[in-house]
Amino acid sequence: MNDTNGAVRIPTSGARPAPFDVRDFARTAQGSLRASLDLDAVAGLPAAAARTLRTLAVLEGATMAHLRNVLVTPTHKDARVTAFLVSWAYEKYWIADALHLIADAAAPAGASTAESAPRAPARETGRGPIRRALAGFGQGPDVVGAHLALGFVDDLVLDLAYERLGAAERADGVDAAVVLAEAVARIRAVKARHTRFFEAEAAGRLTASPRSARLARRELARSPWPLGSGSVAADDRRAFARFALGHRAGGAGGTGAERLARGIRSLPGIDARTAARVIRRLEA
Amino acid sequence: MAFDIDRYTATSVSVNWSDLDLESFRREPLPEPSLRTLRYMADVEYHTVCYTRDLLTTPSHREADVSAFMTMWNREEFWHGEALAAVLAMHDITVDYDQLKASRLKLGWKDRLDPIKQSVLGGLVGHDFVAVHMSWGAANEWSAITAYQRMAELEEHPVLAELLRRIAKQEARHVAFYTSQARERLAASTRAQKVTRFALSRFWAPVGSSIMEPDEVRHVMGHLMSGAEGRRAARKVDDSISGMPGLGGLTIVQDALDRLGVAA
Repeated sequence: MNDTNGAVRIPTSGARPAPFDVRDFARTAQGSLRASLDLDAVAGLPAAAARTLRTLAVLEGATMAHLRNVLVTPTHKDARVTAFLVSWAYEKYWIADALHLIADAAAPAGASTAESAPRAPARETGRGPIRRALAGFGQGPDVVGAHLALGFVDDLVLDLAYERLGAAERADGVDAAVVLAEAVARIRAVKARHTRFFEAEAAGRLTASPRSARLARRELARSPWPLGSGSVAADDRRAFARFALGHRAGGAGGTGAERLARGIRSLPGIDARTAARVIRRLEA
Repeated sequence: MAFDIDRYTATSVSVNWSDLDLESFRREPLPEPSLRTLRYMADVEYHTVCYTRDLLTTPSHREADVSAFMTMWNREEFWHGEALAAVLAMHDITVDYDQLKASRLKLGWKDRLDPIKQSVLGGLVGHDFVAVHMSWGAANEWSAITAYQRMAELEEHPVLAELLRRIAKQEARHVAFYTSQARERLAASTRAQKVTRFALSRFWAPVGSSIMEPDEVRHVMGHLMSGAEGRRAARKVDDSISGMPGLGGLTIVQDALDRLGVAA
Protein backbone atom coordinates (compact mmCIF):
# COMPACT_ATOMS: atom_id res chain seq x y z
CA MET A 1 0.00 0.00 0.00
CA ASN A 2 1.17 3.50 -0.75
CA ASP A 3 1.47 5.37 2.56
CA THR A 4 0.41 8.72 1.18
CA ASN A 5 -2.81 7.90 -0.62
CA GLY A 6 -3.73 4.38 0.42
CA ALA A 7 -3.27 3.13 -3.13
CA VAL A 8 -3.14 -0.58 -3.68
CA ARG A 9 0.12 -1.68 -5.18
CA ILE A 10 -0.35 -3.84 -8.24
CA PRO A 11 2.21 -6.57 -7.70
CA THR A 12 4.82 -7.38 -10.30
CA SER A 13 6.02 -10.67 -8.84
CA GLY A 14 4.79 -13.40 -6.54
CA ALA A 15 5.31 -11.44 -3.32
CA ARG A 16 4.46 -13.09 0.02
CA PRO A 17 2.72 -10.60 2.33
CA ALA A 18 2.62 -11.18 6.10
CA PRO A 19 -0.16 -13.51 7.33
CA PHE A 20 -3.49 -11.71 7.50
CA ASP A 21 -5.09 -11.43 10.95
CA VAL A 22 -8.82 -11.97 10.28
CA ARG A 23 -9.80 -11.35 13.88
CA ASP A 24 -7.99 -8.01 13.94
CA PHE A 25 -9.60 -7.09 10.61
CA ALA A 26 -13.05 -7.83 12.05
CA ARG A 27 -12.28 -5.84 15.17
CA THR A 28 -11.12 -2.77 13.27
CA ALA A 29 -13.58 -2.86 10.34
CA GLN A 30 -14.37 0.61 9.00
CA GLY A 31 -18.02 1.61 9.32
CA SER A 32 -19.74 4.67 7.91
CA LEU A 33 -17.52 7.19 6.12
CA ARG A 34 -20.20 9.90 6.20
CA ALA A 35 -18.59 12.03 8.90
CA SER A 36 -15.42 12.39 6.80
CA LEU A 37 -17.21 13.56 3.63
CA ASP A 38 -17.42 17.23 2.68
CA LEU A 39 -20.40 16.90 0.37
CA ASP A 40 -20.91 20.63 -0.18
CA ALA A 41 -17.47 20.84 -1.75
CA VAL A 42 -17.93 18.17 -4.42
CA ALA A 43 -20.55 19.90 -6.55
CA GLY A 44 -19.35 20.53 -10.07
CA LEU A 45 -17.22 17.45 -10.61
CA PRO A 46 -16.72 16.49 -14.26
CA ALA A 47 -19.51 14.30 -15.67
CA ALA A 48 -17.19 11.35 -16.33
CA ALA A 49 -16.07 11.33 -12.69
CA ALA A 50 -19.66 11.48 -11.40
CA ARG A 51 -20.68 8.67 -13.73
CA THR A 52 -17.78 6.48 -12.58
CA LEU A 53 -18.58 7.21 -8.93
CA ARG A 54 -22.14 6.06 -9.45
CA THR A 55 -21.07 2.87 -11.17
CA LEU A 56 -18.50 2.17 -8.45
CA ALA A 57 -21.22 2.68 -5.82
CA VAL A 58 -23.38 0.00 -7.43
CA LEU A 59 -20.45 -2.39 -7.86
CA GLU A 60 -19.26 -1.97 -4.27
CA GLY A 61 -22.81 -2.51 -3.00
CA ALA A 62 -23.35 -5.77 -4.87
CA THR A 63 -21.81 -7.93 -2.14
CA MET A 64 -24.85 -10.06 -1.38
CA ALA A 65 -25.12 -11.37 -4.94
CA HIS A 66 -21.41 -12.26 -4.89
CA LEU A 67 -21.73 -13.88 -1.46
CA ARG A 68 -24.51 -16.05 -2.78
CA ASN A 69 -22.36 -17.18 -5.69
CA VAL A 70 -19.48 -18.24 -3.48
CA LEU A 71 -21.42 -19.51 -0.45
CA VAL A 72 -23.42 -22.12 -2.36
CA THR A 73 -20.08 -23.85 -3.02
CA PRO A 74 -17.62 -25.43 -0.54
CA THR A 75 -16.23 -21.93 0.12
CA HIS A 76 -18.91 -21.52 2.81
CA LYS A 77 -17.23 -24.25 4.84
CA ASP A 78 -14.04 -22.30 5.23
CA ALA A 79 -14.67 -20.43 8.49
CA ARG A 80 -11.63 -18.18 8.05
CA VAL A 81 -12.80 -17.02 4.63
CA THR A 82 -16.43 -16.54 5.70
CA ALA A 83 -15.32 -14.63 8.81
CA PHE A 84 -13.39 -12.31 6.48
CA LEU A 85 -16.32 -11.95 4.08
CA VAL A 86 -18.68 -10.83 6.87
CA SER A 87 -16.55 -7.75 7.62
CA TRP A 88 -15.64 -7.31 3.94
CA ALA A 89 -19.35 -6.96 3.06
CA TYR A 90 -19.81 -4.52 5.94
CA GLU A 91 -16.96 -2.27 4.82
CA LYS A 92 -18.10 -2.36 1.21
CA TYR A 93 -21.64 -1.45 2.26
CA TRP A 94 -20.33 1.78 3.76
CA ILE A 95 -18.01 2.45 0.82
CA ALA A 96 -21.03 2.16 -1.48
CA ASP A 97 -22.96 4.48 0.81
CA ALA A 98 -20.20 7.12 0.64
CA LEU A 99 -19.93 6.82 -3.15
CA HIS A 100 -23.68 7.24 -3.60
CA LEU A 101 -23.61 10.36 -1.44
CA ILE A 102 -20.67 11.88 -3.30
CA ALA A 103 -22.21 11.07 -6.69
CA ASP A 104 -25.55 12.57 -5.62
CA ALA A 105 -23.84 15.70 -4.33
CA ALA A 106 -21.81 16.04 -7.54
CA ALA A 107 -24.78 15.02 -9.73
CA PRO A 108 -24.35 16.88 -13.02
CA ALA A 109 -27.72 16.39 -14.70
CA GLY A 110 -27.88 13.53 -17.20
CA ALA A 111 -24.37 12.40 -16.36
CA SER A 112 -25.34 8.85 -15.64
CA THR A 113 -27.97 6.25 -16.26
CA ALA A 114 -26.57 3.94 -13.60
CA GLU A 115 -28.76 2.96 -10.66
CA SER A 116 -29.03 5.97 -8.38
CA ALA A 117 -30.78 4.33 -5.42
CA PRO A 118 -28.51 3.16 -2.64
CA ARG A 119 -28.28 -0.61 -2.14
CA ALA A 120 -29.35 -1.23 -5.73
CA PRO A 121 -30.73 -4.75 -6.11
CA ALA A 122 -28.72 -7.20 -8.19
CA ARG A 123 -29.78 -8.58 -11.52
CA GLU A 124 -28.89 -12.10 -12.50
CA THR A 125 -25.60 -12.64 -14.26
CA GLY A 126 -24.27 -15.87 -15.65
CA ARG A 127 -24.78 -19.11 -13.76
CA GLY A 128 -27.46 -19.33 -11.09
CA PRO A 129 -27.10 -20.88 -7.63
CA ILE A 130 -28.18 -24.36 -8.69
CA ARG A 131 -25.53 -24.67 -11.38
CA ARG A 132 -22.90 -23.24 -9.08
CA ALA A 133 -23.87 -25.53 -6.19
CA LEU A 134 -23.84 -28.58 -8.46
CA ALA A 135 -20.44 -27.59 -9.85
CA GLY A 136 -19.26 -27.15 -6.25
CA PHE A 137 -19.88 -30.87 -5.59
CA GLY A 138 -17.08 -31.79 -7.95
CA GLN A 139 -14.81 -28.85 -7.27
CA GLY A 140 -14.51 -29.40 -3.53
CA PRO A 141 -12.32 -27.16 -1.35
CA ASP A 142 -10.08 -26.28 -4.35
CA VAL A 143 -12.73 -23.81 -5.48
CA VAL A 144 -11.97 -21.57 -2.46
CA GLY A 145 -8.68 -20.46 -4.07
CA ALA A 146 -10.54 -19.63 -7.28
CA HIS A 147 -13.04 -17.46 -5.42
CA LEU A 148 -10.25 -15.64 -3.62
CA ALA A 149 -8.58 -14.99 -6.98
CA LEU A 150 -11.84 -13.44 -8.20
CA GLY A 151 -11.86 -11.11 -5.20
CA PHE A 152 -8.27 -10.09 -5.84
CA VAL A 153 -8.77 -9.36 -9.54
CA ASP A 154 -11.98 -7.43 -8.90
CA ASP A 155 -10.11 -5.25 -6.43
CA LEU A 156 -7.41 -4.61 -9.07
CA VAL A 157 -10.04 -3.57 -11.63
CA LEU A 158 -11.87 -1.21 -9.30
CA ASP A 159 -8.62 0.25 -8.02
CA LEU A 160 -7.70 1.40 -11.52
CA ALA A 161 -10.86 3.51 -11.52
CA TYR A 162 -10.17 4.85 -8.03
CA GLU A 163 -6.63 5.71 -9.02
CA ARG A 164 -7.80 7.70 -12.01
CA LEU A 165 -10.48 9.49 -10.00
CA GLY A 166 -7.88 10.56 -7.44
CA ALA A 167 -5.13 11.46 -9.92
CA ALA A 168 -7.19 13.40 -12.47
CA GLU A 169 -8.79 15.55 -9.85
CA ARG A 170 -5.55 16.42 -8.15
CA ALA A 171 -4.15 17.64 -11.46
CA ASP A 172 -7.17 19.89 -11.95
CA GLY A 173 -6.54 21.55 -8.61
CA VAL A 174 -10.19 22.50 -8.12
CA ASP A 175 -11.70 22.37 -4.61
CA ALA A 176 -14.19 19.66 -5.56
CA ALA A 177 -11.34 17.67 -7.03
CA VAL A 178 -9.20 17.86 -3.92
CA VAL A 179 -12.10 16.79 -1.71
CA LEU A 180 -12.84 13.86 -4.02
CA ALA A 181 -9.18 12.83 -4.02
CA GLU A 182 -9.20 12.74 -0.23
CA ALA A 183 -12.36 10.62 -0.12
CA VAL A 184 -10.95 8.25 -2.73
CA ALA A 185 -7.72 7.88 -0.74
CA ARG A 186 -9.74 6.92 2.34
CA ILE A 187 -11.71 4.35 0.37
CA ARG A 188 -8.56 2.88 -1.16
CA ALA A 189 -7.04 2.56 2.30
CA VAL A 190 -10.07 0.55 3.47
CA LYS A 191 -9.96 -1.62 0.35
CA ALA A 192 -6.21 -2.22 0.58
CA ARG A 193 -6.80 -4.68 3.42
CA HIS A 194 -9.30 -6.64 1.30
CA THR A 195 -6.81 -6.84 -1.54
CA ARG A 196 -4.06 -7.99 0.81
CA PHE A 197 -6.25 -10.79 2.17
CA PHE A 198 -7.40 -11.93 -1.28
CA GLU A 199 -3.89 -11.81 -2.70
CA ALA A 200 -2.19 -13.69 0.14
CA GLU A 201 -4.92 -16.32 0.48
CA ALA A 202 -5.27 -16.88 -3.25
CA ALA A 203 -1.51 -17.08 -3.78
CA GLY A 204 -1.13 -19.67 -1.01
CA ARG A 205 -3.93 -21.88 -2.29
CA LEU A 206 -3.06 -21.58 -5.97
CA THR A 207 0.54 -22.47 -5.22
CA ALA A 208 -0.45 -25.45 -3.08
CA SER A 209 -2.90 -26.93 -5.57
CA PRO A 210 -2.57 -27.03 -9.38
CA ARG A 211 -6.26 -27.93 -9.49
CA SER A 212 -7.12 -24.78 -7.58
CA ALA A 213 -5.08 -22.79 -10.12
CA ARG A 214 -6.93 -24.49 -12.98
CA LEU A 215 -10.31 -23.66 -11.39
CA ALA A 216 -9.12 -20.08 -10.86
CA ARG A 217 -8.18 -19.73 -14.55
CA ARG A 218 -11.62 -20.99 -15.51
CA GLU A 219 -13.52 -18.80 -13.03
CA LEU A 220 -11.52 -15.72 -14.04
CA ALA A 221 -12.14 -16.33 -17.73
CA ARG A 222 -15.90 -16.88 -17.44
CA SER A 223 -16.95 -14.37 -14.75
CA PRO A 224 -18.69 -11.12 -15.63
CA TRP A 225 -16.28 -8.24 -15.02
CA PRO A 226 -16.33 -6.27 -12.88
CA LEU A 227 -18.06 -8.61 -10.39
CA GLY A 228 -21.52 -7.25 -9.70
CA SER A 229 -21.78 -5.64 -13.12
CA GLY A 230 -25.17 -7.34 -13.57
CA SER A 231 -26.50 -4.42 -11.52
CA VAL A 232 -25.06 -1.81 -13.89
CA ALA A 233 -26.54 -0.67 -17.21
CA ALA A 234 -24.49 -1.89 -20.19
CA ASP A 235 -23.57 1.67 -21.27
CA ASP A 236 -22.32 2.54 -17.80
CA ARG A 237 -20.33 -0.68 -17.58
CA ARG A 238 -18.57 0.07 -20.87
CA ALA A 239 -17.91 3.66 -19.85
CA PHE A 240 -16.49 2.39 -16.58
CA ALA A 241 -14.17 -0.06 -18.36
CA ARG A 242 -12.90 2.69 -20.70
CA PHE A 243 -12.31 4.98 -17.72
CA ALA A 244 -10.41 2.32 -15.76
CA LEU A 245 -8.46 0.57 -18.52
CA GLY A 246 -7.62 3.45 -20.82
CA HIS A 247 -5.88 5.58 -18.23
CA ARG A 248 -2.11 5.90 -18.43
CA ALA A 249 -0.67 6.59 -14.99
CA GLY A 250 2.49 8.59 -14.49
CA GLY A 251 5.80 6.72 -14.68
CA ALA A 252 6.46 3.60 -16.70
CA GLY A 253 3.41 1.65 -15.53
CA GLY A 254 1.65 1.64 -18.92
CA THR A 255 -2.12 1.76 -19.45
CA GLY A 256 -4.64 0.46 -16.95
CA ALA A 257 -5.14 -2.61 -19.10
CA GLU A 258 -1.42 -3.38 -19.16
CA ARG A 259 -1.07 -2.97 -15.42
CA LEU A 260 -4.17 -5.06 -14.79
CA ALA A 261 -2.78 -7.86 -16.95
CA ARG A 262 0.45 -7.79 -14.91
CA GLY A 263 -1.52 -7.90 -11.66
CA ILE A 264 -3.57 -10.90 -12.80
CA ARG A 265 -0.46 -12.74 -13.99
CA SER A 266 1.17 -12.19 -10.59
CA LEU A 267 -1.12 -14.91 -9.19
CA PRO A 268 0.58 -18.32 -9.22
CA GLY A 269 -0.58 -20.44 -12.15
CA ILE A 270 -2.47 -17.65 -13.88
CA ASP A 271 -1.23 -17.10 -17.41
CA ALA A 272 -1.29 -14.24 -19.92
CA ARG A 273 -4.14 -15.91 -21.81
CA THR A 274 -6.38 -15.79 -18.74
CA ALA A 275 -5.47 -12.15 -18.13
CA ALA A 276 -6.32 -11.34 -21.75
CA ARG A 277 -9.70 -13.04 -21.40
CA VAL A 278 -10.53 -11.01 -18.30
CA ILE A 279 -9.67 -7.79 -20.13
CA ARG A 280 -11.67 -8.85 -23.20
CA ARG A 281 -14.71 -9.44 -21.00
CA LEU A 282 -14.21 -6.07 -19.38
CA GLU A 283 -14.04 -4.35 -22.74
CA ALA A 284 -16.97 -6.26 -24.28
CA MET B 1 -44.82 -0.69 12.23
CA ALA B 2 -42.37 -0.32 9.36
CA PHE B 3 -38.74 -1.15 10.10
CA ASP B 4 -36.41 1.79 9.54
CA ILE B 5 -33.53 0.17 7.65
CA ASP B 6 -31.45 3.35 7.43
CA ARG B 7 -31.65 3.87 11.16
CA TYR B 8 -30.74 0.23 11.73
CA THR B 9 -27.67 0.28 9.48
CA ALA B 10 -26.51 3.59 10.97
CA THR B 11 -26.70 2.25 14.53
CA SER B 12 -25.54 -1.33 13.97
CA VAL B 13 -22.52 -2.06 16.17
CA SER B 14 -20.59 -5.10 17.28
CA VAL B 15 -21.66 -6.15 20.76
CA ASN B 16 -19.36 -4.70 23.42
CA TRP B 17 -18.04 -6.65 26.38
CA SER B 18 -14.81 -4.75 27.07
CA ASP B 19 -16.29 -3.19 30.23
CA LEU B 20 -17.44 -6.54 31.65
CA ASP B 21 -15.37 -8.37 34.22
CA LEU B 22 -14.80 -11.61 32.38
CA GLU B 23 -12.16 -12.55 34.97
CA SER B 24 -15.12 -13.26 37.27
CA PHE B 25 -15.55 -16.52 35.34
CA ARG B 26 -12.15 -17.61 36.69
CA ARG B 27 -13.46 -17.11 40.23
CA GLU B 28 -16.97 -18.43 39.51
CA PRO B 29 -16.72 -20.76 36.53
CA LEU B 30 -19.86 -21.97 34.78
CA PRO B 31 -20.76 -25.66 35.17
CA GLU B 32 -19.95 -28.05 32.33
CA PRO B 33 -23.53 -28.45 30.98
CA SER B 34 -23.79 -24.65 30.70
CA LEU B 35 -20.46 -24.44 28.87
CA ARG B 36 -21.73 -27.08 26.45
CA THR B 37 -24.81 -24.94 25.79
CA LEU B 38 -22.70 -21.79 25.38
CA ARG B 39 -20.45 -23.59 22.93
CA TYR B 40 -23.53 -24.56 20.89
CA MET B 41 -24.72 -20.96 20.93
CA ALA B 42 -21.31 -19.66 19.81
CA ASP B 43 -21.16 -22.18 16.95
CA VAL B 44 -24.66 -21.25 15.82
CA GLU B 45 -23.81 -17.53 15.83
CA TYR B 46 -20.65 -18.14 13.79
CA HIS B 47 -22.64 -20.30 11.40
CA THR B 48 -25.16 -17.56 10.63
CA VAL B 49 -23.50 -17.33 7.25
CA CYS B 50 -24.91 -20.78 6.41
CA TYR B 51 -28.43 -19.45 6.85
CA THR B 52 -27.55 -16.34 4.85
CA ARG B 53 -26.49 -18.55 2.00
CA ASP B 54 -29.88 -20.27 1.96
CA LEU B 55 -31.65 -16.92 2.03
CA LEU B 56 -29.53 -15.71 -0.83
CA THR B 57 -30.50 -18.52 -3.18
CA THR B 58 -34.05 -17.29 -3.45
CA PRO B 59 -35.63 -14.07 -4.67
CA SER B 60 -35.02 -12.43 -1.27
CA HIS B 61 -31.55 -11.25 -2.21
CA ARG B 62 -32.92 -9.00 -4.91
CA GLU B 63 -34.52 -6.73 -2.43
CA ALA B 64 -32.44 -3.76 -1.35
CA ASP B 65 -33.60 -3.55 2.27
CA VAL B 66 -33.04 -7.26 2.75
CA SER B 67 -29.46 -6.96 1.46
CA ALA B 68 -28.71 -4.03 3.74
CA PHE B 69 -30.19 -5.82 6.72
CA MET B 70 -28.32 -9.04 6.03
CA THR B 71 -25.00 -7.24 5.81
CA MET B 72 -25.40 -5.80 9.32
CA TRP B 73 -27.18 -8.85 10.75
CA ASN B 74 -24.37 -11.17 9.67
CA ARG B 75 -21.79 -8.99 11.33
CA GLU B 76 -23.73 -8.61 14.58
CA GLU B 77 -24.20 -12.39 14.79
CA PHE B 78 -20.51 -12.96 14.08
CA TRP B 79 -19.70 -10.72 17.04
CA HIS B 80 -22.14 -12.60 19.25
CA GLY B 81 -20.03 -15.66 18.43
CA GLU B 82 -16.87 -13.76 19.36
CA ALA B 83 -18.40 -12.57 22.66
CA LEU B 84 -19.47 -16.08 23.65
CA ALA B 85 -16.05 -17.37 22.58
CA ALA B 86 -14.49 -14.85 24.98
CA VAL B 87 -16.51 -16.34 27.86
CA LEU B 88 -15.53 -19.85 26.80
CA ALA B 89 -11.89 -18.76 26.64
CA MET B 90 -12.09 -17.90 30.34
CA HIS B 91 -12.80 -21.60 30.87
CA ASP B 92 -9.85 -22.56 28.65
CA ILE B 93 -12.13 -23.56 25.79
CA THR B 94 -10.77 -22.18 22.55
CA VAL B 95 -13.03 -21.57 19.57
CA ASP B 96 -10.92 -20.96 16.51
CA TYR B 97 -11.70 -20.76 12.84
CA ASP B 98 -9.99 -24.05 12.05
CA GLN B 99 -12.23 -25.90 14.51
CA LEU B 100 -15.30 -24.26 13.04
CA LYS B 101 -14.14 -25.29 9.61
CA ALA B 102 -13.80 -28.88 10.81
CA SER B 103 -17.37 -28.91 12.09
CA ARG B 104 -18.66 -27.45 8.83
CA LEU B 105 -16.84 -30.14 6.88
CA LYS B 106 -18.86 -32.75 8.79
CA LEU B 107 -22.13 -31.40 7.44
CA GLY B 108 -22.04 -33.71 4.43
CA TRP B 109 -24.63 -34.23 1.73
CA LYS B 110 -27.56 -32.65 3.48
CA ASP B 111 -25.73 -29.37 3.65
CA ARG B 112 -24.63 -29.62 0.05
CA LEU B 113 -28.15 -30.17 -1.15
CA ASP B 114 -29.71 -27.41 0.91
CA PRO B 115 -28.95 -24.49 -1.43
CA ILE B 116 -30.27 -26.51 -4.35
CA LYS B 117 -33.47 -27.45 -2.53
CA GLN B 118 -33.96 -23.87 -1.46
CA SER B 119 -33.38 -22.63 -4.99
CA VAL B 120 -35.77 -25.09 -6.53
CA LEU B 121 -38.46 -24.26 -3.97
CA GLY B 122 -37.79 -20.55 -4.35
CA GLY B 123 -38.05 -20.90 -8.12
CA LEU B 124 -41.30 -22.83 -7.92
CA VAL B 125 -42.98 -20.67 -5.32
CA GLY B 126 -41.52 -17.39 -6.56
CA HIS B 127 -41.97 -14.15 -4.70
CA ASP B 128 -44.14 -15.66 -1.96
CA PHE B 129 -41.14 -17.69 -0.82
CA VAL B 130 -39.67 -14.54 0.71
CA ALA B 131 -42.49 -14.70 3.29
CA VAL B 132 -41.29 -18.16 4.32
CA HIS B 133 -37.75 -16.89 4.89
CA MET B 134 -38.89 -13.88 6.84
CA SER B 135 -41.24 -15.90 9.07
CA TRP B 136 -38.55 -18.53 9.54
CA GLY B 137 -36.05 -15.84 10.47
CA ALA B 138 -38.53 -14.34 12.96
CA ALA B 139 -39.09 -17.75 14.57
CA ASN B 140 -35.33 -18.29 14.85
CA GLU B 141 -34.64 -14.86 16.32
CA TRP B 142 -37.53 -15.16 18.82
CA SER B 143 -36.19 -18.50 19.96
CA ALA B 144 -32.64 -17.12 20.19
CA ILE B 145 -33.80 -14.30 22.48
CA THR B 146 -35.72 -16.81 24.58
CA ALA B 147 -32.68 -19.09 24.79
CA TYR B 148 -30.44 -16.24 25.97
CA GLN B 149 -33.03 -15.12 28.52
CA ARG B 150 -33.45 -18.66 29.84
CA MET B 151 -29.67 -19.09 30.07
CA ALA B 152 -29.37 -15.87 32.08
CA GLU B 153 -32.18 -16.93 34.45
CA LEU B 154 -30.74 -20.39 34.99
CA GLU B 155 -27.16 -19.32 35.66
CA GLU B 156 -27.76 -16.26 37.84
CA HIS B 157 -24.23 -15.10 36.96
CA PRO B 158 -24.32 -11.27 36.83
CA VAL B 159 -21.62 -10.88 34.17
CA LEU B 160 -23.06 -13.58 31.94
CA ALA B 161 -26.56 -12.14 32.44
CA GLU B 162 -25.41 -8.69 31.32
CA LEU B 163 -23.60 -10.03 28.25
CA LEU B 164 -26.60 -12.14 27.25
CA ARG B 165 -28.89 -9.14 27.80
CA ARG B 166 -26.80 -7.10 25.36
CA ILE B 167 -26.85 -9.89 22.79
CA ALA B 168 -30.61 -10.39 23.20
CA LYS B 169 -31.15 -6.66 22.74
CA GLN B 170 -29.55 -6.88 19.30
CA GLU B 171 -31.55 -10.00 18.49
CA ALA B 172 -34.70 -8.00 19.30
CA ARG B 173 -33.90 -5.63 16.44
CA HIS B 174 -33.47 -8.63 14.15
CA VAL B 175 -36.92 -9.84 15.24
CA ALA B 176 -38.31 -6.41 14.42
CA PHE B 177 -36.93 -6.61 10.88
CA TYR B 178 -38.07 -10.17 10.21
CA THR B 179 -41.54 -9.66 11.65
CA SER B 180 -42.17 -6.41 9.80
CA GLN B 181 -41.17 -8.10 6.54
CA ALA B 182 -43.09 -11.29 7.30
CA ARG B 183 -46.28 -9.56 8.44
CA GLU B 184 -46.41 -7.37 5.36
CA ARG B 185 -45.84 -10.25 2.95
CA LEU B 186 -48.19 -12.63 4.73
CA ALA B 187 -50.94 -10.04 4.97
CA ALA B 188 -50.68 -9.37 1.22
CA SER B 189 -51.02 -12.96 0.02
CA THR B 190 -53.04 -15.97 1.14
CA ARG B 191 -50.74 -18.12 -0.95
CA ALA B 192 -47.76 -16.82 1.03
CA GLN B 193 -49.63 -17.70 4.24
CA LYS B 194 -50.31 -21.25 3.05
CA VAL B 195 -46.76 -21.88 1.86
CA THR B 196 -45.30 -20.43 5.08
CA ARG B 197 -47.65 -22.40 7.30
CA PHE B 198 -46.75 -25.58 5.45
CA ALA B 199 -42.99 -24.94 5.56
CA LEU B 200 -42.87 -23.99 9.25
CA SER B 201 -45.10 -26.83 10.45
CA ARG B 202 -43.32 -29.46 8.36
CA PHE B 203 -39.68 -28.40 8.38
CA TRP B 204 -38.91 -25.96 11.21
CA ALA B 205 -36.52 -27.25 13.87
CA PRO B 206 -34.68 -25.43 16.68
CA VAL B 207 -31.92 -23.11 15.53
CA GLY B 208 -28.73 -25.07 15.02
CA SER B 209 -30.45 -28.40 14.23
CA SER B 210 -29.09 -28.41 10.69
CA ILE B 211 -25.49 -27.79 11.73
CA MET B 212 -25.06 -29.47 15.11
CA GLU B 213 -25.14 -33.13 16.18
CA PRO B 214 -28.59 -34.33 17.41
CA ASP B 215 -27.13 -35.04 20.88
CA GLU B 216 -26.08 -31.41 21.17
CA VAL B 217 -29.52 -30.16 20.10
CA ARG B 218 -31.17 -32.41 22.69
CA HIS B 219 -28.77 -31.25 25.39
CA VAL B 220 -29.36 -27.55 24.73
CA MET B 221 -33.13 -27.85 24.44
CA GLY B 222 -33.29 -30.00 27.57
CA HIS B 223 -31.05 -27.57 29.44
CA LEU B 224 -32.94 -24.42 28.50
CA MET B 225 -36.51 -25.42 27.66
CA SER B 226 -37.46 -28.32 29.96
CA GLY B 227 -39.75 -28.10 32.96
CA ALA B 228 -42.65 -25.74 33.56
CA GLU B 229 -40.60 -22.56 33.07
CA GLY B 230 -38.97 -23.83 29.90
CA ARG B 231 -42.30 -24.84 28.43
CA ARG B 232 -43.82 -21.51 29.36
CA ALA B 233 -41.03 -19.80 27.44
CA ALA B 234 -41.60 -22.09 24.44
CA ARG B 235 -45.31 -21.28 24.51
CA LYS B 236 -44.50 -17.59 24.43
CA VAL B 237 -42.44 -18.03 21.26
CA ASP B 238 -45.25 -20.05 19.68
CA ASP B 239 -47.75 -17.34 20.62
CA SER B 240 -45.61 -14.75 18.83
CA ILE B 241 -45.26 -16.89 15.70
CA SER B 242 -48.94 -17.80 15.58
CA GLY B 243 -49.83 -14.13 15.96
CA MET B 244 -48.65 -13.44 12.41
CA PRO B 245 -51.21 -13.32 9.59
CA GLY B 246 -52.42 -16.78 8.60
CA LEU B 247 -50.21 -18.64 11.10
CA GLY B 248 -52.77 -18.91 13.95
CA GLY B 249 -52.61 -22.12 15.97
CA LEU B 250 -49.02 -23.08 15.02
CA THR B 251 -47.07 -24.61 17.92
CA ILE B 252 -43.80 -25.37 16.15
CA VAL B 253 -41.48 -24.83 19.13
CA GLN B 254 -43.49 -27.00 21.52
CA ASP B 255 -43.85 -29.65 18.80
CA ALA B 256 -40.09 -29.64 18.27
CA LEU B 257 -39.48 -30.08 22.01
CA ASP B 258 -41.89 -33.02 22.04
CA ARG B 259 -40.10 -34.61 19.09
CA LEU B 260 -36.78 -34.26 20.91
CA GLY B 261 -38.26 -35.84 24.05
CA VAL B 262 -37.64 -32.75 26.19
CA ALA B 263 -39.43 -33.18 29.55
CA ALA B 264 -42.36 -30.82 30.08
